[in-house]
Amino acid sequence: MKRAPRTIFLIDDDEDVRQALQMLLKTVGFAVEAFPSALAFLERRGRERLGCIVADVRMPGLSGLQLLERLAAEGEGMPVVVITGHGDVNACRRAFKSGAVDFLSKPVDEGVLLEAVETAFSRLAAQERVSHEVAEAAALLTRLTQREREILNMVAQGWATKEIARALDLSPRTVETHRANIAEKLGTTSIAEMVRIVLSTTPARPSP
Amino acid sequence: MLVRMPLRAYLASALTWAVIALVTAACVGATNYVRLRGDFETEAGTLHRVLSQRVDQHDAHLTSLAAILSSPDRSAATLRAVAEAVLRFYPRIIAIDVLAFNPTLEVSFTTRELGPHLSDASAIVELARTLLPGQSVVDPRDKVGAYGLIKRLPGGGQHVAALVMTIDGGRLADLEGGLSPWTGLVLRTPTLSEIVSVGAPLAEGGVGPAFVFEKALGSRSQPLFLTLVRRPALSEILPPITLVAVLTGTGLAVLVGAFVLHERRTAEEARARASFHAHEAQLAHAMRVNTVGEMASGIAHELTQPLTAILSRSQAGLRLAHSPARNLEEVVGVLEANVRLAKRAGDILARLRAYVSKKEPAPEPTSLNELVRNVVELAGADLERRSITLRLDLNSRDPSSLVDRVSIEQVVHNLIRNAADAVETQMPDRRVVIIATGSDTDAAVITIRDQGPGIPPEDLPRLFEPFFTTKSEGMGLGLPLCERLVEAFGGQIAAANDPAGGALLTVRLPLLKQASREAA
Repeated sequence: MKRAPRTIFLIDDDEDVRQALQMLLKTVGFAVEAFPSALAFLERRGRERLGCIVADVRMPGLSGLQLLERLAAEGEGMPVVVITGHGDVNACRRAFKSGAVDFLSKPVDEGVLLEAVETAFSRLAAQERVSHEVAEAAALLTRLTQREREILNMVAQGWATKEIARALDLSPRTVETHRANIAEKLGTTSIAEMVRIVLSTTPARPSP
Repeated sequence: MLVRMPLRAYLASALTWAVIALVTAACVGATNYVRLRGDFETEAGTLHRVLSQRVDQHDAHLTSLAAILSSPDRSAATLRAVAEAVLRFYPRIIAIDVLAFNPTLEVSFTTRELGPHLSDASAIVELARTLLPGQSVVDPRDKVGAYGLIKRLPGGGQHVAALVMTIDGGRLADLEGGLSPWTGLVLRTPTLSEIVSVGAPLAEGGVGPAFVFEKALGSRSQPLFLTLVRRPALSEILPPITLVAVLTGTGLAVLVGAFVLHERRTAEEARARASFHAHEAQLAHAMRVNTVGEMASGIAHELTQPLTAILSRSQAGLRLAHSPARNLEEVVGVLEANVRLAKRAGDILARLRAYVSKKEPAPEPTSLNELVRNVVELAGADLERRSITLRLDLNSRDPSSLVDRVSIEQVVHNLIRNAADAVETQMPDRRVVIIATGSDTDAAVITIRDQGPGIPPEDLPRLFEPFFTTKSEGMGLGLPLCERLVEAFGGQIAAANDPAGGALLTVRLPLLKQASREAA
C-alpha cells in the first residue's frame, strides 16, 4: 500500500454479491471496478490501468473459467482470482491450469479473499518489475547503431573478437572499437550483463 | 365384435388363427384317416369272409353233382335238373361240364347247349389225371374274367372223369352294395394270374399311404388270392364342408379370444388408471420429494449467493464500525442490506418448502416466465453438472394463467428432466434443452424442446398411459401425472416430434387476460 489505490476488477452477475464484495474491497482500500458480466469487462478493458481480476465462475454468457482461458490465450498479464458458488474439482483444475492465482468458494471470508488478492498483486508487481527491466534494456539497445547491435548479438552468442572480425570482414581493431562503444552505451563492461540485456528483450517483445 | 385394436394385434390374431386352423385340420385329417383305415379293414375282412363262403358253395355243388354221377342209376335227367337249378340260383356259375376219357375223350354232359363249347377239354382231362379221385383244383391257366374249378370223379386206372365248373369272376366279386369309393379289388388264381379287377385301379390317386389287404380265400380247393387296395382321397380325409367348418370355427374362437383378451387388458388399464388417479396427490408429492436430491446443488448455489453477500457486507460493516471515522449511516446501510439478503435466502427456502410440501393445490394468477425461471433456478445446477445447456426463450408479454404454482412447476421440472435424459447421450453440441413461453388467443403456452433422438412414432399415442415407459428405471408415471396436473387447471399437454429433430412437449394453460390479472 505504498502507491495510490490499486484496482480490482470485480465480475459477478449477482447484483447483491457484486455490491457486497465491492463494498468490502472498497472499505479495505482498493479501487473497485465492478462488471455484471465477463463481456462487459472485456469491453472496458484496454485502458492503461492494470489490476487484479476477481471473477465468479457461474455467469450467463462467458463464464469465469472461459474468461480466464481467453485471457491466458491472449497473453494477458493481469492475475485472476476465481470465486465460485459450488467448487468442484474439475472447475478448480481448469482454473489453475489457466493460471488462476486462487480458487475460492462462496461465501468467501474476507481474510481468505484479501490474502488471495494480495498474492495476485504481488504477482502483478513481479510482472511489472520484469517488464520495467525489459523496457529499460530495450531503451538501452535503441542507443546502439545497426552494426553495434549486430556485434552485440554475436558477443552474446559467445563469439570472440577475431571470429566476429572474420565473419563481418572487418579488422579486429575495428571490432574492438565497436565493443568499446557498446560497453559505454550500455554502461557495463561485463559480458554477462550484456547477455542479460539482450536476452531480456528478445523472447518477449522484439522491440518497444 | 369389431374391437379397436392396433394393426399388430390383428396380425397376431390372424397368425394365431392360421396356426389353430392348421392344427385342427391336421387333427380332423388324422382322425378321418384312422377311421377310414378301420372301415377298410372291416370291409376287407367282410369281403374275404363272403368270398370264402361263396367259393365254398362251389365245392358243395360239385360234391352233390359228383354224388349224382356216382349213384347207381346215374340219371342224366336228375343231373341236368340239379345243374340247371344250380345255374339258375347262382348266376356266377356260368357252366357245368362233365368230361370222360373212356378210353376216348367225350363230353358226357354240358350246360352249354346255347353258349360256346368247352374248348380245351383234352387239357382239362390231362390236368384231372394228376388229381386224386374226388380232389378239386382251380384251373391254373389264364382265363380272363372267369376261372374253372375241376374235380376228378372217383374211378381209377385209364378211366378218368372230371366235373368242370366255370365261374364268372365279376359276378363272384359283385357284392351287395358294391365297393367303397376309391377302393380296388383284384382276384387272382393261386398261381397269381389275374381273374378279375373291380373298382378303382390299384396304383392311382389318393393321398397318403394306401391301405392294402392281401389274403388268400379260406378255401382248400380255391385259395384265390384277394387283394384289396384303398387310396383315401383328400376329400375323404378333409371334406370341404369340414374344412369350412374348421376355418370358421377356429376363426370365431380366435376372434372371441382376442376380444376377451382386449377387454381384460382394457379393464386392467382402467383399474391401473383408477388407482393411479386415487393416489395422484400422494404420487405427485412423492415424485417432487424424489427430485429434491437433484435440486440440492441448485438450491445450495441459490443460498450461497445471499450468504456471500451477507458475509461480505457484514465484514465490511465491521471494518466501518471499527474505523476511527465511524459513519453510522453506512453501518445502517449494511444492516438494511443484510436484512434484505437474509429475506432473499428465506424466500429460496420457502420456495423449496412449498415444492416439497403436501398442501392442497391452490390456483392463483401465476406468471409463466417467473415459474419457468423458478424451476430453472432449482434444476439448473444439476443440468450444468451433466453438461446440458438450458436455453430460455421467455415471451416479453409474460403470459399468465390461473394455476397452482407448485403443480405446474413440477410439470415443467419433469419435462425438463425428460428432455435432459434424452439429450444426455448426444454429442455435446446437441445437449441443449430449450424452454419457451408464449401465448395465443386463449392459451398461455410453455414448450420444452430437446435435440435428442425424438420419440418413436409408435410410442407417441401411449406416452401418457400410466405405467408405459421406455426408461429402464422409469415407473411410467411422470407424463401421466403431468397430464393430470395440467388438466386439473383446464390445460392440455401434448407430445410431438420437432421437425428439426428431438421431442417437443407443449403445455397449454388457460390464458389469464391482462385486465383480469390486474384485477386479481
